[in-house]
This record gives sequence, structure tokens and C-alpha cells, in this order.
Amino acid sequence: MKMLAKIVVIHDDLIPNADPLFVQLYESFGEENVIHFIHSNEGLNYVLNNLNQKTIVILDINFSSDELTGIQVLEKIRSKTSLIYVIMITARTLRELDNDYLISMVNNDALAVENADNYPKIVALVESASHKLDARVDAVLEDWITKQSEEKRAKPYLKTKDGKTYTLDNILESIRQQTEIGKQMERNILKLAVDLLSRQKTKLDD
Amino acid sequence: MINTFIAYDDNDFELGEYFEDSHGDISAVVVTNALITNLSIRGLDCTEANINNTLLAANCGRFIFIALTHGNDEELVSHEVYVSVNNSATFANSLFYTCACSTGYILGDNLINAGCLSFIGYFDTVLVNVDYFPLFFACQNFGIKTFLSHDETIEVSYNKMIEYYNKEIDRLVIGSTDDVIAASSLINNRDCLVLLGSKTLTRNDFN
Repeated sequence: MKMLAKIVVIHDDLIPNADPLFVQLYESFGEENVIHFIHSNEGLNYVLNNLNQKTIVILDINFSSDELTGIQVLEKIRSKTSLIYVIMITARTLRELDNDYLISMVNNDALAVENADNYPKIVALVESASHKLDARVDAVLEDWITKQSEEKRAKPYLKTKDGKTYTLDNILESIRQQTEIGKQMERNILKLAVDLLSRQKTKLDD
Repeated sequence: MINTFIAYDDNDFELGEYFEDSHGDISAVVVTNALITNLSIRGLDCTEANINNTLLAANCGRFIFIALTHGNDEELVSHEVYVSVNNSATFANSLFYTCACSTGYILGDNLINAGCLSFIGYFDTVLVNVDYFPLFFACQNFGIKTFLSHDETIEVSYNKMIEYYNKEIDRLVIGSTDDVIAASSLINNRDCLVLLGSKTLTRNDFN
């Protein structure tokens, strides 16, 4: 079964079941896949504790002074992974945002900055991000892994000759968390695709 | 007579069985070939002193050294380091063949600079899928087994080894096996293989 992305909304002003953004997200992605956090710290903890799942974050920029700002949340997510799409939303215009905020959003690869009222655009961005997630190596690998038996997924599957052991689920987590072995496996899977295509082409040319 | 030495870490907690079976796979070729004499060195005997003494005592001029153990950029390791820059001169006039991780950069160069004739190893982490031990060591051993069985250059054996990897990669993704991770792990190993030093050696150079 295809694994749907979780949409994590970290925003202290929106009201689930009432705000048009939530209504539209529920309709497009299913209520069970949309998770709302009022406090930025709690939202960040959820994201970082669930790096092994496909996640798209809709993140407000401003929170109360005793909480992490949206920019700080973005930076902390990026310190752990580059594989989560983050859509920043704000009630202000771009011109009204601090330069430092803008620089940080660009440097930390925010997918977009959008006004909170423009929910059709935000939902379209989430759908675009969801499509990108499905086309990525970790998503393709996840589809393959979910077809394997529970037994095969749980047992040691890969060993390195420097003495480490991984299950299939560990490999998926490693890719999502962008560890060294995760990056290596990601490269290997891409190389496999290119290698098979190029060598099959050579055979056909022959 | 071709002199071969196989160091293998049968005592390793994670991959002892793999190294032992790899050794058995090469031994099957070595023991049936009347041109070859072999001495195998088990994990607990893989110390720098013992390796040095064994090779010096054999006094066999040119020889082939096969290492089936863990390793890193600069050394081969069993329960202790047994090949490094410290004893690289011991391997002068050898063909050095190893399956260890990451030895292709520094250790390989050190050995060649110390007079080793040819070196085949890997320049990155080498992966082994638990469900496919025989397939992985068949690929890993193919080069040296081919070299010992035919009058062809080490480069030809090396290229045949890459072709063998390709054949097994195809087999893992086509048909009922369908294991993309295992296939991509083999791609990883194939693409970090390296041949250093002379490419024109044949087994007759060790006879």
C-alpha cells in the first residue's frame, strides 16, 4: 500500500475543522494525515521524532516570544534532514519580513513563503511537494520495502565490511535522516537505475 | 609453483562466517590446481608479526597475498592491525588482493610504493547483503579465481570481474528475485573496485 505523506501544520492561529486551509487539506490528504501543533516546540519535536516518514511542514513564521520562531524551527529541521519540504506562511508581505529571515529561508531551502489567507495556493504547494516526495529515492524505496514481509524487514539485511549491520527499515531511516550510509544507499539506488538503463540500451544497440 | 597466502578473519563477530565461506570459495580453486601452493592464515593468527614472519620464512620471491578481513584507509584489521605502512615492504613483489573496506586510497598506494606489483581492493565502504552471502563473495573473489585459473593479465581478470558483477546485478533485478537493495549494494561494490600498479601481470609471473 502506498504511504501517504503526513502534513504537519505548525501554527498558533488556525482552527482545525473551521479554517479553510484545514478543510481543504483534510479533503485532499485525509484528516488522519494532517497533524496540527499550536506550539512550535511541540511541532518541531514531532517532526524530528518522525524523520522516517514522508513529511511536509506548513510552518508559521511568528510565535509567542517564549517559543521558537518559525525560522528557528526551519533551521533545526534542516540541521537534521534536507528531505522534508517546508512551506513558510505569514500574515505579512515579503517586504515586511526581516532580511535575516529571508536569507535564512533561502539558505535553508524553504519550499515557498505564502500568505496564510491564500489557502488554495498553499494546498497546491502541498500537492506539488507530495508529488516530489513520491518521486524521490526514499519514497520509491519505501514502496519496495512495504512489499516485503515483516520478517524480512526486521532481520539483519545489510552488513558493511567496517562492521555495521542494518535492517531494511534501518536503511530507509538512514536515507531519510541523510546519514553517511543513507546517502551512500541513495546514490547506489540512483546508480542502479542509470546503470540498468544504460547497459540495457547498449544491449539493444548491439 | 605459484605461492598464495590467504588471510581470513573467521573470528569476526559480524562477518566471520562470510570471510570463512569466502576463503572456502577461493581454496576450492587453489587446492585443485597443481601449480599452486597455498598457506591460509586464520583470524587469530593475523598479527603483523606473524604475517611478517610467515612471509619471510616462505622466502618465495613473488607471491600472491589475499586478505579477506575488515580494513580501512590505512590498514587491514583482524583482531589487531596486521597490514599497514609499518610492514608494507613485506609485500614487495606480491599481487595483493583484498575485499576490505576503503583500502584503495592510502593502503593500496603505500603497498605499491613499497614494491607491491599490483593491488586490487576497494576505495569505499564495501557492502554485503545477509541473504546473498554466496553471491557477494562470488563477485568479490571472481577476479583472483579467474587470474589463477587462466593465462591472462590481471587487467583482463579485473575487467571480467566487473562483467561478473554486472551479470549478478541484472540477475537480482530481473525475474523473481527483485531485490533492488542487494543489486544497488553490488553496484556500490563494483564501482569502488580499484586496480593499482601493473596491469600486465599474469599468473606465469608468479611461477
